[in-house]
Amino acid sequence: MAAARKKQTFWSEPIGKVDLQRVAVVPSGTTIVDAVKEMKYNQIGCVLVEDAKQELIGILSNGDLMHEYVGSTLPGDTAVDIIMTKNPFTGSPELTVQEALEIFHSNPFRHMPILNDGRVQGILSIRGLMTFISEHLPLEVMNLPPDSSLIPSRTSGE
Amino acid sequence: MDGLKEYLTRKDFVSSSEVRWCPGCGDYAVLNSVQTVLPQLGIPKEKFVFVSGIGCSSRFPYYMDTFGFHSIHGRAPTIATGIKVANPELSVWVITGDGDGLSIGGNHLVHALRRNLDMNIILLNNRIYGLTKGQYSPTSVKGQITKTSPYGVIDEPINPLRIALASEATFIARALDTDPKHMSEVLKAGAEHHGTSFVEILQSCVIFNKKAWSEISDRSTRENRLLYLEQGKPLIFGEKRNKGIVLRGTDPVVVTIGEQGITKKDLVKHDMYREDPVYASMLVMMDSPDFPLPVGVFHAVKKPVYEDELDAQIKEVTALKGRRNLQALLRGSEYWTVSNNGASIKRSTGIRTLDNDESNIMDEQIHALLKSTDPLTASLKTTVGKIFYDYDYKRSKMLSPRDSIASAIAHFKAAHIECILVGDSKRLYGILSERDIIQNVVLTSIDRDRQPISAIMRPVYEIMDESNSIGDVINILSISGHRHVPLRLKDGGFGLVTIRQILRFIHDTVEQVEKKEMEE
Repeated sequence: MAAARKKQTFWSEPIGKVDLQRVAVVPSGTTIVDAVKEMKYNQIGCVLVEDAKQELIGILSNGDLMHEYVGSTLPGDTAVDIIMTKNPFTGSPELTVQEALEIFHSNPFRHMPILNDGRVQGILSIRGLMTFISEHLPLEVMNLPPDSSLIPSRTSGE
Repeated sequence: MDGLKEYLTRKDFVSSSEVRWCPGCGDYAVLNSVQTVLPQLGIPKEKFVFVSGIGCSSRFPYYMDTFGFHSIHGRAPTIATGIKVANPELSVWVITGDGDGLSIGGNHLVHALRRNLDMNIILLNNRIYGLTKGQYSPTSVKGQITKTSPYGVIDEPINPLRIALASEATFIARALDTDPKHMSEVLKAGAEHHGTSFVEILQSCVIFNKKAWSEISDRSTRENRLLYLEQGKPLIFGEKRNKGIVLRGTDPVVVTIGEQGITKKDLVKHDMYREDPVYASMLVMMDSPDFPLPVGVFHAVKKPVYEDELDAQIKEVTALKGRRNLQALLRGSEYWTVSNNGASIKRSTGIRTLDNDESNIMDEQIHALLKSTDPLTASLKTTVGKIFYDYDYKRSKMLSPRDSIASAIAHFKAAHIECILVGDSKRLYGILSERDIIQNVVLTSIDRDRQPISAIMRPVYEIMDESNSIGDVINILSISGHRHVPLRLKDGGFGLVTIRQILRFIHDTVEQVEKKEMEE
C-alpha cells in the first residue's frame, strides 16, 4: 500500500525529470589523449563519440581506458574508435525511474546516454539515479543528523 | 492665566543630582542639547523616559528630571522596547555609547532598530571605554594607542551609522558635541520622526581619548572637514563654501565650484527622504581624508511602527478569539510541578486551552514518519554491514601506499574493479579509483614503475561503520560526489560500499515488496 503510493510518486517518473549529467562529445577519430583531456576538463567519467552525421556511435569510459589502453602498446594518438564501447546501450527520456533501476541492475555500465529523437539529451549515471531516489526520500536519507543513531526516538521534554 | 498654555522650560528637565562627568566632557553638551529640545516637543514632562545601559553616557538618566532607568549593560534598547510597547504614549529615549551600544549591546541595538518603535536612540561615540579607564572600543580607529592596545588597535572599527542603515533604521543622523546648536536641530528632527531615530554624536573623552575627533571638532578646520547636510540643498562645504560633491558614475567625487566648469547645479542635492538606502549608504561611507565627514540627517523614511502593528494585531486577534486567560496559557497542554525540596517532579496534562495546539500534531507526524512501516523506508534503516556481506562483496584487497602505480594498474585489470583502498588492516591512507589512474597515466608522464600509489591516491575524508544505516551511506555518497565509501569492518580491516550495491539493494527491496503485494 505504502509502496504503491511511492510508486505513483517517483518510481514512475520519467528519466527526463532526473538531473542528467552534462555530456562531453568528441568526433570519431579523436585521439585517446584528447578524449581524456575532455573528460578531465568536464569532470565526468565518460565521453560520447559521434560520427560525421552527428549520430552516436560509441562511448568511452574510464573502464574502457583501463582495460584497453593503459598498459597496452597503443600510442596516445590512437583514435578513440579503437577502444570505445561501440553502439552503447541508450535510453529514452520516457524511461521510468524504476525501469532505469532495472537496467543498471542487470548491466555492468555506469553511464547510459539518453537520446531524444536521435539527439543526445544527457547521460543518466548510476550516481544521478541514486541521488534522484534519495532526494525523494528526504526524511529517510537527506535531512538527517550525521549519524542515524542521533535521531531522537521521543519528543523532547518528555 | 486662562487660555494661555503653560510651557515647560529647560529647567524643568534639570535634575538636582550632582553631575559626575569629567569637566570638559562632551556628555555635558549632549545633556544640555537634550534639555533644550525636550520643552520644544510639546510633550508633558511625565511622559518622558530615559533609559541607559552602562558607561559614562549611561549616567544620563540621573541628570534628567524625568522618569529613567539606568539599566544593564547593552540592554537599554531592550528595556526601552518593553517600556514603549507597554505604554505607547511615552516618549522613550535611549542613551548609549560606542561600547554599550555596539559591543555589549550590539545585538540589541540591531533588533531595536529593525523593529522601528517610535523612540529615540542617542549613541555617544568617543571611540574609547571611558568609565572602565581607557580600553579600546568597537569604534576605536586602527592604530589607536589605548590601555589595552599599547602597540595600536588592529581591529577594523565599526561605523555606527552603517550598522544602523543595515539594520533597516528609518532615521539616521550624526552630530558633533562641539556644535550644540546643530546637535539640537538634529535631536529635534529625530524626536519628531515617527519611528526609531538613531543619532550618533561624535565627542571626545577628555581623559582617555582627547583627540577622538580632533580633525573635525577643531573650530579652525571644521568648515573644511565637515559637510553639513541640508534637505534639498547641494552638498557644499569648505571655508569658502566652494567645494562640493558630484557623482561620477556611482562614485562621489570632491570638486571645486568654478573649476573645470563645475557649477552649484552639478552638485548632488541632499535628499534624506529617499526610500532606498543607496544614497544614504554613500554618505555614510564618506570620511576623511578623502571626503568631508557628513553631519546632519542622512536618512528619514516612513515605515510601519512596531507598537502600532502590535496593537492592531492584538485587537484583530481579540476580536476573533476573545480575550485569553494567561494562567491557562501558561499551563498549556502540560506542565510540571516541582515539590518544595525538589524531591519529586509531577507532570500534569489534560488542561487543554489551546484549541489549535499544532505542536502535538507535529510531534505525531514526525513520529509516524520515524516509525514508518513503508518497506523501502524501513529498509533504509538496515545496517550497511548487511549490504556488504550480502551483496557479493569480498573483502577488498588493499594496496600499500608504497606499491608502484604499475602494480595498482595490474591489480585493477586482473580484478575488474573500479576502486581500491590504500592502507593496511589498521589504517586507511587513501583511496584510488580508475579515474585517478587514467588521468595521471594518460595525461602526465608520471613514471608508473617508480612512482608509488601515494603520489596519485586521494585522501579519505569519510569512513562509515558497519552499524551505520544504508540511509546514512546514501546521504554521504550524495554529498561527497563519489561512487564509493570506505567501511570499517567489525573484525578489523576495511571494505568498500559502492553505489551499485546500494541500487541493487533498493532494487531487490522494491522487487520483494511487489512480489508480496501480488500474493496478497
